[in-house]
Amino acid sequence: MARWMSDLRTFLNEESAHVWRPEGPVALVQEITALQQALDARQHYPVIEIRQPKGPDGTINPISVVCNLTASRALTARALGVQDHRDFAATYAQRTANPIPPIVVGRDAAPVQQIVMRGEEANLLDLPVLTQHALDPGPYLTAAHATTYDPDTGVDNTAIQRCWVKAPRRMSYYPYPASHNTRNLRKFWAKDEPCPVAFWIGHHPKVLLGTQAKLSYPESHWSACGGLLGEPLRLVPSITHGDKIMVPADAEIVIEGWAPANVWEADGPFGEYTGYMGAQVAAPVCEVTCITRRENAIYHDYGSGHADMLVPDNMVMEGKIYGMMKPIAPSVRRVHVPVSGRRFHAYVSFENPGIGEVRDALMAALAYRRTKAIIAVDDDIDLFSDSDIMFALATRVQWERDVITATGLQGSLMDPSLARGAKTVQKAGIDATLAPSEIPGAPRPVPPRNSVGTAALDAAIARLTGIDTKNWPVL
Amino acid sequence: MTEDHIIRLRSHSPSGEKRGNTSWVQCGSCDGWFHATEDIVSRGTVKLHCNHCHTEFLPSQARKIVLA
Repeated sequence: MARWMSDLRTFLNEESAHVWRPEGPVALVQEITALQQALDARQHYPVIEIRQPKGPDGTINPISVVCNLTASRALTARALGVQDHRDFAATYAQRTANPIPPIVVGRDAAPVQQIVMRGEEANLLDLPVLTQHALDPGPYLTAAHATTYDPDTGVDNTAIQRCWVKAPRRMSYYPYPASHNTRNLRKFWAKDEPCPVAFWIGHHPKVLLGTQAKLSYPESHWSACGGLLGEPLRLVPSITHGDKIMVPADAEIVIEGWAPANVWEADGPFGEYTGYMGAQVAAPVCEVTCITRRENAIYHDYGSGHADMLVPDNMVMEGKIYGMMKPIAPSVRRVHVPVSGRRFHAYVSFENPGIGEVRDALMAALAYRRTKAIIAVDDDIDLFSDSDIMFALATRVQWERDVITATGLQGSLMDPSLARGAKTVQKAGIDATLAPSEIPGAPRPVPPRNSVGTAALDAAIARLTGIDTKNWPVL
Repeated sequence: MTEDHIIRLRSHSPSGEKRGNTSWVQCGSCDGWFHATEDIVSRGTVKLHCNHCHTEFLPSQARKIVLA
């Protein structure tokens, strides 16, 4: 009997009260993503399960689509047993620092290999793949974790890669130039060999977050997943590549194949995490040899550029930044990478930092490739309120004194503000904390904030409870 | 690939002036524009894909290319 472990279904059951299942058919072309976009605008983040996904030809796909799985910070944190999402960074940093190696199970104990389709039986077009945005050129897998290995060491790497489904057994996919999967690909291609690859789709958010751990090269994500799961991740050898490429035994769907050496095709434009369309690029292709799946598989999709995709990666970034800053600055309390900033900036709170401590911490974290700006604030500022952050910037910063800038650093080449032709970015660390106290026992030499007292505020909130406010102006 | 249909935007800009970093390709079939990296255009051998009419063509067959 298969050993029970957390998977996508476990999570859907755990959070069943927060799953919305719209009635009737919903089109794969733009309509599902439109629901996510509309919900994001309303700041409502239910998990969505589409039981009748409708293809472009009008047929209803028998495989359900799940999206918005990780649009909510609260649900995503709770998936890891963190009750307050604001404390996610510290927990994530601690658990991924304590990895648990995976275990390998046989095919008979691997739900993801209940159905195996080889050769012409394998058909990507049987999957309910979404065309998310108006300018996307076709249907894209957005929750497919491309898994390759370093031919020199055998160490695997797994990372989400967008995949344009072009034909029943052909898709282009785009590993970013600086990614570990690209390094592995280049090593095979340098020997004129095709690169073995497998893409797995659908699992518990603990595993999804584990695969987004920011590791060195070459370093396997499977143990980081185990650290978050609190138990070994169950793996099974892939059908095409055997134990050279393992895949999660409890995933929903796996697509296996080869990237032929030095074959490039157009990929994109594609709606990206930046909130803009990513440009068309030259990308490798995957020639599919096999698709395996559960008997009643669920297809997972991330809404690219929407909270669904931003939240999990941003929360993982929080853990990474916390881990970089805390050894330098013990006064670090919390980290927030807001959806509003895509992945480009982070807010960090400090509690009574010592002289120079904030700037030391900013210097340390600016080396992190992903962030472009880090804003440091005191812990009286709500890190999860963009309005509060703006208040800190407006009243606690002198731009010449409080901003550290550095040029020529690694960053995202998808940043629309990048200078023409540039391959590096300019970054800023902004110290928006108040001046520290200089006399022991005396207040900081800054004015107190104006606010009513706690008792008066509690009474006001009680008075407002239950009042119909729908006709009150919001601006 | 001839340069007749390629416009290269000026790379240098005075300090403080903004210059966009996005290159555009005009489809030879439908005249629609889509953006692409300079890398895929300069390779010359990878077929571009118009996301409006889904025609595929080499960069040399584009109506116009504006490289940033």
